[in-house]
This record gives sequence, structure tokens and C-alpha cells, in this order.
Amino acid sequence: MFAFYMNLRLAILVFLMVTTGSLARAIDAPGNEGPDTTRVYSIGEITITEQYRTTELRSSSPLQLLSSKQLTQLNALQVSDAVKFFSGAVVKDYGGIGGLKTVSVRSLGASHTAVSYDGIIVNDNQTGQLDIGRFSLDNVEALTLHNGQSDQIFQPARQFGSAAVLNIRSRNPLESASTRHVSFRTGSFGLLNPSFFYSKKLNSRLAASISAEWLRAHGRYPYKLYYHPSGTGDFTSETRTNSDVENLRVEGALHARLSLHETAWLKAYYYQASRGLPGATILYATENFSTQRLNDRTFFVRGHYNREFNRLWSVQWNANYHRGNLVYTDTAYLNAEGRQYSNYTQQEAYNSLSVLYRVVPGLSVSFSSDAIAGSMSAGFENDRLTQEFAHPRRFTFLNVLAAKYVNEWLLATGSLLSTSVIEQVRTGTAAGGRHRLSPYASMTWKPFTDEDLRFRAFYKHIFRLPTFNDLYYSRIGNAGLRPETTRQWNLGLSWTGTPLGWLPLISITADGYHNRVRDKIIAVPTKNIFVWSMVNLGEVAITGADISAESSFALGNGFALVVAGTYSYQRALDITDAGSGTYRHQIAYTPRVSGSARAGLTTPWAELSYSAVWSGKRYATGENFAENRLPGYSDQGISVSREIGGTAGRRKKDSDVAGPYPHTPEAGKEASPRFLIRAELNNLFNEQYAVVRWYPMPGRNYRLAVSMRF
Amino acid sequence: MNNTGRLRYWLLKCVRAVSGSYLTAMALLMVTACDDMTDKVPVGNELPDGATSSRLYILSEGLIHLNNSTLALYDFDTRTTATDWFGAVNGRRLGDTANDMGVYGSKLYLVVSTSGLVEVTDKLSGRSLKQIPLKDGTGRSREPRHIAFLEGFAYVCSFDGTVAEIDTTTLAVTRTTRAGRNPDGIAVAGHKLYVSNSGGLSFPNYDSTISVIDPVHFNELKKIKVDANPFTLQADSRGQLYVVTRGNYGNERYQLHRIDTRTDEYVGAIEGAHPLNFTLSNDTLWMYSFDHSTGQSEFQTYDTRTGALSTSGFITDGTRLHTPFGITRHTGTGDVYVTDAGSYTTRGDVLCFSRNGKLKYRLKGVGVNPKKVVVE
Repeated sequence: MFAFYMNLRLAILVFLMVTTGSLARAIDAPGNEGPDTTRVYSIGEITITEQYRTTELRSSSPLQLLSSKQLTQLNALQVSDAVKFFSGAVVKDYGGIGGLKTVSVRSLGASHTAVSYDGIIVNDNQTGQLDIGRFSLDNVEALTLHNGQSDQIFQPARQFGSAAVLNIRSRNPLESASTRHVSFRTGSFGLLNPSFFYSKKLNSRLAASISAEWLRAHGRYPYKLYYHPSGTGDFTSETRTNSDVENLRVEGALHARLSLHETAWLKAYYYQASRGLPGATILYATENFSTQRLNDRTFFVRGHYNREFNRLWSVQWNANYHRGNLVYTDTAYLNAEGRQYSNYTQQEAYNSLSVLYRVVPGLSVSFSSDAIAGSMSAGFENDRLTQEFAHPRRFTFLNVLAAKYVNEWLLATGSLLSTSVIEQVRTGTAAGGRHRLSPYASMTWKPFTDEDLRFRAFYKHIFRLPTFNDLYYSRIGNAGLRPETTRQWNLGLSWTGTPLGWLPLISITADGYHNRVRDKIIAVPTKNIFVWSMVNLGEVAITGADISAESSFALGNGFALVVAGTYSYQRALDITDAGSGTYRHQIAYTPRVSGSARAGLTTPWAELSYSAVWSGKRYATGENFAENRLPGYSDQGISVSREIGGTAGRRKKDSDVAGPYPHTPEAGKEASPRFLIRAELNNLFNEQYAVVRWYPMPGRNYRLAVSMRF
Repeated sequence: MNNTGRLRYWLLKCVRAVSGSYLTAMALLMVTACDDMTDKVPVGNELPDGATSSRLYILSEGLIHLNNSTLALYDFDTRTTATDWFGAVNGRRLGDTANDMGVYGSKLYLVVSTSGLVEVTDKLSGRSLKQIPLKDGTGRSREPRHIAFLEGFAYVCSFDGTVAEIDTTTLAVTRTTRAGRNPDGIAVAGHKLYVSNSGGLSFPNYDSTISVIDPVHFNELKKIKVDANPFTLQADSRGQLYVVTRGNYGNERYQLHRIDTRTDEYVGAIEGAHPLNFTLSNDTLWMYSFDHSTGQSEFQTYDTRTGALSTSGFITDGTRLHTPFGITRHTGTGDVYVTDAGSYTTRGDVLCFSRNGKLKYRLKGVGVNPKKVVVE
């Protein structure tokens, strides 16, 4: 016991030392939040259709990126809508604007995808998975999905600590001129969604931005409920109820370019949402089925400081404080109190220091050290439950040593991450301390200088920690859990060129991979059928392929066409126990094949776009029997947008990055308000489908948006 | 061209050809979109020889909120099986979380909890005769759990604390009364109804009473205190009611208790009997216990006339069960049927043991969480 407290005190001490030490020194360095590191590994390249695609093609581990321009072509309202277009990503969507949406990459499970907002990971210690439906696309400049990890070695250690990273990058007001932007969206499900973005360059070194958004939808939509075991035949027409949502997001940022070698920013983010949880649709009991509600409030404030001391040394510091409160209520639960009430509060303090050293031209090494302190408290409808709650605290120390070598035909990176975790609880048993080492290696080989062809490979061995729910959830948790480990092997290529000589420029990436998940944490009933508990049971073998292609055609006379598509194949088999009935069955909710497509046609009058996601059949449980099969589906959408009104030559630069303004007007004209009108039609063919069984998705629906920039 | 140049030239050609064909193959894959995943066929379903009964009806809960409760039929006379017999006959699903089944006259009564109904079917054909909704004033399911029959009426206890009376001729709910919290068992003894109030949804604050209900005035006569979390209850031929309490799944053990229904007084706990569930046949309790944390199960019998408790268990051939989930005995043949829920997420089995405790046969993959077997 004494030793434990000593460890704890040591942990706090180290945390404080790292925090105060870095604050005291107040270091600095250049802008580093982007996924592109051309400055670091610039190889003579032909520039393809768009700056970001270059990043995707050069990356040694698969990287997918959607820029704000591309995002507008997807009819996407939330981040989750856009992530569906990434190959290898399966979004578990419970339907509706307010429905939970989590992303699993390459069948590893949602807890293995870290979600990063402006380069700092947004964590949820309670469930280990983040609802990516809560992130709006309103203020997003780019969305990237990394398998493995980024080639950028100069970043916080936590960025090295997951099997995949989804990064959401918001607009940087320093990169564009002062902007004022208001928009209003409305549409099906009673959607009302006003938002504004305001950024101002205070001087050449300082820019500030503030953005806010409010969204409300009653969330009701019609669906067909089929009664036959085959999912066809007789149906009743039902309405999805208790799926209303109301949320508010406010963000502010201050960006500074303190000197030529020094940048810093400070950001604050607040989000609150209140939503109904419609639950599964239950046969013969759809009326008033659910009385559950979820209210959540999230606040974080974070800082970043980056300084290039000289040609050899750079340092960056990142810090974050995050507080999340989640209140779940069921006002018609059949217990003694007649209701269920759970109120969870999580806090996390995060501090990270990274150093980059350029050993010789082409070779750089980095060291990053992160310290994280997380806690959770809870209250319930029943005092005894409240008293029994564990009140866990987790101290995590991440240290990573990484190296990168670049020359004109090779890019190689490697890293070794050390993770140490100490946990403490107020009641019950705390999980034991853990220490793990996680290796990573990747390379890209460009065999020919005159051919834009690259081969790439990566290997990563990483794990996810058991969540607070896994470990301590009232009577369900199991403090003896081991982390769930994943190993990934990837082999792929990327190519850009003009096949057959006459076709337009096309860029292609193709990757084959094999993943293993060990010690998978799953729920089994260990008390009775009502009380399930978590155990390390399960091994999954995943073999798959991801392909993406993009091409653009300049058609002349102001016409241009961009088409892109992805395809994924995933063979994700349960190999836990050769004697079990699910041995070598595809794991639940994982399609064997899935894909997406998007096309944008620019005309002198309007911008037209088409987008589609499709999925093959899936099974709702681990048994691949006909009765558990969910049919495949496709969800297609179209949109038209048109810009009206003035032009502003001085905004030529920011129109490249700042979203839904397709036309860059000629320079030199007078600035005046510009309007963009956009109409979207989603689920064009009114397909009735479900991603999660008995959670119907909305049928055909529309959205209208008007925005003004002035 | 020098040698190095030539080598480079050919190497370039090779790599182009290889990557070209690789990309073509990938593109072909993309176009054909080969979904090579096909439905797997459940194992089992073959009928064993030498069965002494003619029909087995097996009700499976399914998984919560997956609407996959099933009623299976294993017909030894016609040698046919149907794991989703109800669905096949009626062209629709049974619903969500079917929890109990009873036979009365020529009809099967299926209690479907989350769907909030009693499905009345013809026993021979499986055809649905009536869907009796058990909903509260707002249309929400009362979460019916168990059914018992008495003098032309069916009585269903529900988690919302009510007991409903159903006229078996009109198949309509005639009256509703209240019991305790989250009733999870109902039995008939001496022209009275006994309901076990589990309070299971108020964990850790369980109920611990048995409600005695007068079927004539349809009101609660009294509450008899037992231990926490009572569950299965059944009366023997001499009016002795046996009740299982499940405790808190922690420091309180499962325990068997006796109530004398002639006086409606609590008699006491049966020493050494710690079942999770039981069935009563020929004035003998056939019991099983299951420790969820260790996965250990135990089988016992208790003779209500002699008070003899067999601790060695009634399975004599060493057959092991993964997760016993339900038990039934056919009094005529003496066969004992135990359902095995396996991992709770996949299809489970039904095991038939002979009178002398030997495994006669195992029906594999009968349904997800098989709960109740009716033998005809």
C-alpha cells in the first residue's frame, strides 16, 4: 500500500515537473499541425491535382484525406457522414442526426481509432470510443484518417499510441485573410442549423477566430418495419420517435506567429447536446418504446507552442484540459425509483513535450514525452450505487523515440513507444500498473525518379487500454483485464500517371493488409443474464485490401470533373476457439466488401456533386447464419450549389482552404458579400436500410443551406 | 545504351508490368466487388433415434433488442424439425425476449417480454390464434415474464409489478392487479396465485417477498417474506410451495425455501439446497445451480416427501454443460431436459437425460438462449 502511494506521488510529481518545466521555459517553433511535412521530406515531385493528394500518395502508411472542398461534395453534415467515405472505415451508425456513431478501422474495433482534433487527441476514458457524430464539419479544413501512424515523427507521443488516428483539422485564421461567414441550414427532420465563423488578423503575427453553431432537429422520420424473418414482405409504416437532438458548439482560437521560427496557438471548445435515445425498434412495441435521454457537455482548452531553435533542433509543447459530463436518464424504468439516472464526469489533464533533432540532412530523430491524468466520478439514482462507484483515476506516461530517414527514393520511419499506466480507485480494486513497449516501422520506396510509383509497408504493434467501463462499471467491470492488443502488417503501392497515354491524370493507392487482435475485451454474463461482465476473450484475424482512386478532367470552357472512389475488402474472422460455433465466422457488423464514390462537376453556373457509400451484407451477431444477416445497401446523394453575388480578389488565397466557395474570382475586383446556396438530396433512392440491426436509417431527405461571406 | 542503363530500362519495364497488372487485378476486383461471404448453415437439427416423446417445443429468448426470439419444433413422429417454427408457420417473427411458455388445452401460450404480449398459438399447427397485448396506459410493454393457469384463466406476471388475468376462451385480458416489484415467477397452489417479487431491476435494492393473490377478488392477500431476489416457485401435490431466491449474486447465495400454502406461512430454508432454478415433477425438485463467475454448474434433486437431498446430482454419465439455462421433466417418461445457453450470444442446445441420468441425445443449435422446453 505504501509503495502504491509512493508511486502515485511520484506520478503526480513527474506530471507537475513536466508541466511547470515546459511552461516556465515557454519555448516555441513553426506551425506543425498539418499532416503535410513537405518541408521535412521534400522530394522532387510533380504536383498532382491537389496539394493534399500528394500527401496521401507519399505516406508510408495508408493516409486518406478529405479537404474542405471535397467535404462539401459529400452532402456531409457531421464528421461521421464524411468518414464513411474512407476505405477500410466502418461507421457504426445508429441512425438519425442524434444517433451514436463510432468508427472502426480495418475491423479492429472502435476503441482502436483515436480521434484527434487539431493534433491533440480527444479521449474518452469511460468508453474508449468517441461519438464522431458530435463533430460538425462547419469549421473543418481537412479530415484525415491514418492507418498505423503518420510519417510525421515530430508530434505528441499519444499520436503514436493507437492503431488508427482520425484527425479533424479546423481552419487556421493565420493562413487566410480576415473572414466573416454566416450560414443557415434547414431540411428534413425539422433541422435548423445556424452557424457563424469570424476570424480576424489582428496584425501580421496574430489572428483570432471564433465560431459558433446551434443545431436542432426533432429527428422524427418514417421507416418500414418488416415482420417476416427474412426482412421482407409485410410491413407497418412507423415513425422513429424520441430521436430529437439539440446541440450547441462554441469555439475560439488565438493563433500567433511569434517570429519566423516560432508559432503558438490557444483554443477553447465547448459543446453541449441533449438528445433522445430512440433505442432499437421492437416488434409489436414501437409505441413509446424509449424514454431514454442523454445530455452531454464537453469543454476543452488547449495550447500549442512550437519553436525551431536552429537548423538542427525544434521543440514543441502541447497541453490540454478536458472535462466531459454525461447524464443518462430513463424516466420510465421499472425499478423501485421508477427511473434510471447516471451522471458521469470525466476530467483529463494532458501535457506533452516533443523534441526534433535533425542528425544529418535526411535523418531526423524525435523524442516525445506525454503525461496524462484522467479521472471519472459518477452519481446514480440509487445512493448505494453511488457509494459503490470506483471513482477511478488513471495516470499515463507515454514516451516515444522515433526516427525518420528520407532520401530521393526512400522514406523510412520507426518508433518505439513506452506506455506506463498507474490506476487508483476510491472503492473496490484498482487495475494493476502496466508497462508496455510498442514498436512501429514503415517505409516507402520510390524505385524510379521519372515514374510516380511508390511501394510502401508498415508494421505496428499496439494496444488499447481497458476503459473505465470495462474495469470499473458497477458490478460489470473486471479490474483484472489485460489490454487488447493489435498487430498490423500493411503492404501497398501508390501510383500517379496517365494510363494508356491519353487518359487524364489518375492517382491510385492500393494496400493489402493483415491484422491480428488478441485479448479482445468482450462482454459475457458473469453474474446473471442481466449483469454482463468484461473478459479478455477473443482473437480476430483480419485480411483485407483497401483501394482508392481519384482523377480529374479539365473539360474546357469552365467545366471540370473530379471523380474518386474507394473499395474495401475485409475478411475479419473470429479465431478464438476452434470448438466454438462462431469459429472462422466474420465478426459482427463487418461487411466483407464496401466502398464509396464521389464526383464533382464544376460548370460556369453551378457546382454539381454526387456521392455514394455502399456496403455488402453483414451479420448482426458472431454467427453467420441467414437469420442474422443484414442486407447490403447503398446510400446515394446529390447536391447542387451556386455562388451568387460579389467577388473579392483579396480573398483569393483563403478560398483555397476555406470551404464551400468553389470559384476563385479574379483578382482586383471590389469586395462585396458573396452568397452560396446549396441544395442536397440524400438517400436519393429512398433505400430502407439499417447499419445496426433494428436501428433504421432515414429514407430520402433533403437539406438546404445558405451562407454568406462578407 | 550502357549496361546499367539497359538494366534500369528493363527493370522499369518489369515493375511497370507488375504494378500495371496488380492495379488491373485490383480494378477487376473492384468492379466485380466480390462478396465471397456466404451464410453458414447451423449444425445439428438431425433428430436422434429412440426418443420416447413425440414432440418437443423449445422457446428461445434470443438476444435483447434483436427481435430474435424463436419457437422451435422437433417432431419425432413426422421426423421434422423447424428452429423458427413460429416464423415459418405465421410469416412473422415472434418478437423480442420470449421468456416463458405454457400449454393449456390445445393451445400454447408464449410470453414475449420486451414486445409486451402473449402470443396464443394452436399447439398442433403452430398457427397464431391471438396476440394479446400487455401494455400500460402509455403503450409501453409491461414486460410480461411468466404464466400460470387456473380454472379457465391464464395469469401472467409482469416486470411492471402487475398480474394480468386472461380468459382462455375469449383470449382477452379481463382484469389486472398489482403484486410487488419486478415479479419473475408465478405459480398456482390451493386455488391461489403465488408471485415472486424479485426487484431485479432495482439492483442492489432487491425485493424479497412472495405475493399471495386471490384469483376470485383478484387482489393481493398477503406478502410472505423470503430472501432477496426470489425467482422460480412451484408447489407440490401437498400444497408445499418451493421458492428459489437468487440473492445478490455476490455474498448472498442462491437458496431454496419452503412455504406452506395452507397457512401461507414461511416454513424455512432447505439446508444444502442452493439451486438457481428447478422444475417440480412427481413431488421431486430437479434443480441446477450455476456460478456465473466460475462457470461451474451443479445438479441436485430434492424429494419433497422424504426430504432427501441428493448432492451427487442426477447426471450419472459425466456429461458437462456449459451454461444450464432451463430445466423441464416429462413426468410420463421421466426424461429430464436441460437447455444450455452456451456463450449466451450464439445458438444453444437442449440435452435430454434419461430417468437414470444418462444423456440420451443433444439437440444442437436450437435457438439463441433456449429457455423453456415443453414435451408432449
